[in-house]
Amino acid sequence: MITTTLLAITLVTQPINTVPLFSLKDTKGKTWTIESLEKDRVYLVEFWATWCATCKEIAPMVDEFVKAHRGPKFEYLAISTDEDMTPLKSWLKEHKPAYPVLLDPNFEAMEKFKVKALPTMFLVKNRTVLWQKTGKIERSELDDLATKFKFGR
Amino acid sequence: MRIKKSLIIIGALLSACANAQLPDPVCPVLGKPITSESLSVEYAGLKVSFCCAGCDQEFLASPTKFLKQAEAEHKVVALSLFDPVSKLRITPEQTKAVVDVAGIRYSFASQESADEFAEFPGLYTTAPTRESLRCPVMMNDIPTYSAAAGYEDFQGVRYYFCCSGCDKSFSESPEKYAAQVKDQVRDVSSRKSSAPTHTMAPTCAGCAGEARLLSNGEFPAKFMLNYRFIAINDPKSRHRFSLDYAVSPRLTIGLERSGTDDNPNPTGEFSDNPTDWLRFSDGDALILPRFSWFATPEGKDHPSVMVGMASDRLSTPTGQAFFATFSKSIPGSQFTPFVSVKTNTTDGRTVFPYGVNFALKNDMVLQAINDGDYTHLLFTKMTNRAAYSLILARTRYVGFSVTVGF
Repeated sequence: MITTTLLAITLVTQPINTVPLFSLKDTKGKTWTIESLEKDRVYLVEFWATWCATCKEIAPMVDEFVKAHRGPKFEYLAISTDEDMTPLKSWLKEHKPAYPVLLDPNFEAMEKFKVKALPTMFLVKNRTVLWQKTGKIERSELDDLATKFKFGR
Repeated sequence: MRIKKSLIIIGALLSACANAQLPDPVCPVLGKPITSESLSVEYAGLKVSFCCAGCDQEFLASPTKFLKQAEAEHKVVALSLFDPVSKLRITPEQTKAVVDVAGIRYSFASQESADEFAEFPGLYTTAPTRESLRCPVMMNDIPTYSAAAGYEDFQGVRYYFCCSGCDKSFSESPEKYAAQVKDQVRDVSSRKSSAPTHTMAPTCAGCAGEARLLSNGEFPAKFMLNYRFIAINDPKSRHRFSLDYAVSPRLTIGLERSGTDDNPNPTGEFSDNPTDWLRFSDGDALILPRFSWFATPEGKDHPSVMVGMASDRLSTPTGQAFFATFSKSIPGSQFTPFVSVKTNTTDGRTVFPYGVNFALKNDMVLQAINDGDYTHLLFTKMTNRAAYSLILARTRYVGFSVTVGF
């Protein structure tokens, strides 16, 4: 029981306050660094993978939320941690995401963001982490964030 | 009127043709055109060519910066040595199609591969930051990227293969093969340290100069010790020791020990008596302060600038000289001309020394300099921590100079 609890604790993502320096390419080959994040724009950054069951479960809800709010004030960045590009490619062909999908097959950004489990989401603005959560998330939580941080449309 | 119209049509046709063609690759540092004969380096599976000697070192000092800059400016500055879809080495002769992404031109063995790539280029261009250049299957060292047959990525490491077929064996049991070369895995960025990273800047104002160790405009060592000998019968010029200390990477202060001001032979003619050559001076040696500040390395639209103070050597028998030197390389050539303005405390005369550096190789430079009165020739060979020069002062007197950084 104690071991399980301890294990659970170590798996939980350590909170970070500021956005760490990173350099990732998106599926189009564009390089993203911390400078790529626009001033005063809120970003929902999600670390996920095609094989992650919870990620798949919440994906339709997240997609809907993103579709509703994407704009000058808000952008969604999906950071795929897939090592194998084949399932990711099928996923991209099927879903044709309108938002940027960043690639972290070597877990470099994942380490810098101190992400220990998937999915983990960060809400960031001007290099500050406003909020973060690991695991399943409800639509109501995202809606609350949109109201609280005034990026909702 | 009609002429004007035809000109507009020709102009439109020309620009249409230009758009249909891919842009020519340029130097990542200065943005100038390059040719297939241009100086080039291989970095992370890419071939990068440069317009001018010195750009290579500047690029290798911060490759990601220059690649990102090229991406932002929509320029092509590197060629991939591998087809990113097949992950195999590709030569210009085998290339059937090319696609430019983020400053890099990728070549493909078939149009199908290029189309597949163009759909999601990021999936193929995301590279691990660590790599092994020892073939994990055959266990032999691969001297450079272009000598590799292909690569595979496994657990955050790019493994290059020596021979075709190695990729297949590797894919069957990657753990086993990866373990064989685990002590050969390096950060991609650390690879550059094996290349010579120092260039010589034309620092001299009015002297038979000696090479200064400079890396990207910066002094690579904390201290630099120099000894220079010229077989000339002028005690001030014959022997010279100097010790410089780098206060910051571009600012040095130092001391210089030359001969006396009491010159027994103002003509500077070479003595027939060998013991004269070995005399350090004819009286008390002078120890004088000096400094140099490398204000800026050469940029796209400005020359490099160095200002400083040193003892005035061959031009006048005594005193200190103050100088500012400007240099700018000629794109597409190995020549770097420079001009200087110098004044001295002896007679207050202002002269304009000038000359040219010719890079024979990355680490060998021929320098011709006119100090305002005399012309001197130098040949310099550099290593990471030292520079050795052969000198022909006033095109007559043989000498040498050794600089060691520590």
